[in-house]
Amino acid sequence: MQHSILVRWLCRIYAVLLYAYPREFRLRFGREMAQVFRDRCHWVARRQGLRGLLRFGVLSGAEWWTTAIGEGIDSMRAATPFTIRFALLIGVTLSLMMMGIQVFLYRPLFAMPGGSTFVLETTVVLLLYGMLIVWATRSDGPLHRTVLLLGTPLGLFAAAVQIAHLAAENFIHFGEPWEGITTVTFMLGTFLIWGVAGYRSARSAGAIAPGVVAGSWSAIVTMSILVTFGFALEFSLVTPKPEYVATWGEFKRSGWTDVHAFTIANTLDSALSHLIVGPIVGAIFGGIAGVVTRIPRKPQPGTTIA
Amino acid sequence: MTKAPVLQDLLPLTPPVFHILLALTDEERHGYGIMQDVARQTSDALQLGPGTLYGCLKRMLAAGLVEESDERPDAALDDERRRYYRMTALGHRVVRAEAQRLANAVAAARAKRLLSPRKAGIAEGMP
Repeated sequence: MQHSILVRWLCRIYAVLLYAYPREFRLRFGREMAQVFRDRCHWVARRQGLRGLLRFGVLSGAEWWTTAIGEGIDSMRAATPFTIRFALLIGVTLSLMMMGIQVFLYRPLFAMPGGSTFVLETTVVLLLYGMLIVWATRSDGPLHRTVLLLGTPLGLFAAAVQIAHLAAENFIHFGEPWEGITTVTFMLGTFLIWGVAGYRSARSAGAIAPGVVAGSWSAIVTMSILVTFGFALEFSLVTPKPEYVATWGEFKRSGWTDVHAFTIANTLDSALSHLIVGPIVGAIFGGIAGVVTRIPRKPQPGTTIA
Repeated sequence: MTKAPVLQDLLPLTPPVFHILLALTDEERHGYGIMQDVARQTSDALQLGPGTLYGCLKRMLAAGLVEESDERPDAALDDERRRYYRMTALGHRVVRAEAQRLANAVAAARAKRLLSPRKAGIAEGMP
């Protein structure tokens, strides 16, 4: 059959892409979806040839992307507060464990001026996050419907955006001015997602306050995951070289003499500022979005008010 | 006690859901069969991908508009791994109500002379 190798490859790729769908959805429909994709692929190959197949591949990729995100958000909406609590607490616990191991393996950190403060502050804030997560995900909690189930999926989405940025920052070197531009773009994108969480919650509840809380909660979700990923990355995968850290202005100004201890403290400091500032920025953007929902709109001619 | 869904709560239907129900009006079909029929109904204007098709089917199964069929039209001629779907009585009522709603919309457009023979091109998306 014509283009059978390409068809086979497209089907293999699609079979892998199916893993992006939520597990329950994939187990229920995955096999049928693969079968339908295969049938359609053969049909396109017969009728439209190579060009049609390539076009079909691109369109299927776009369709996969949008529907996988949609189903992911849908499955999160169906998730119980307990599932959300469990997943987020695992993130916080992992962060505490990674930090603990790192500090335990390099105790000279405590000998540096203010070294123990970095560890203590980050531990306290992570524990506060844990308590906040437990409180917010009580099944009868006030945040449940309007905030938790709307804010969590968007917080996860923002975490994916930030993780992509963190990975790009560490593994791809854009060079100036692109590095600055990508950082600002990812940052604003994340703020916007928190704002969307606020907007949806405020609109759903008909008040601004749930928007503020949802924006902040969304940021808490994002930061719990981002810090776990950041620790894993900085502590094990891409630890900066000591000779490189020694050239940093911050290191020279710090008065510290131990480069490795400074690297650990720097990672903890960065995590701490993200954990504290994130929910504040989330609340601001959620609040702004909440205010937007309260602006009366003029009905457009020809539109239905329902 | 579970509350039965009110017909009006399910309307309006999205275009994919409406066309999937139309595809199941006359016979039970498997996923690819539905996909082909929807493309035929819409002259290829609406081509459902597997993600859209099964996302809709998931929601339609949950809403009780369709159900899985145990019977196979011709097991000997068909791949036994395929699942067939059929419309439920609620699905019938909903698709009829949606078709009526669309017919009313078309009648309103006709009353405004948007669909008169002279201006038929507008309805077909011509400038």
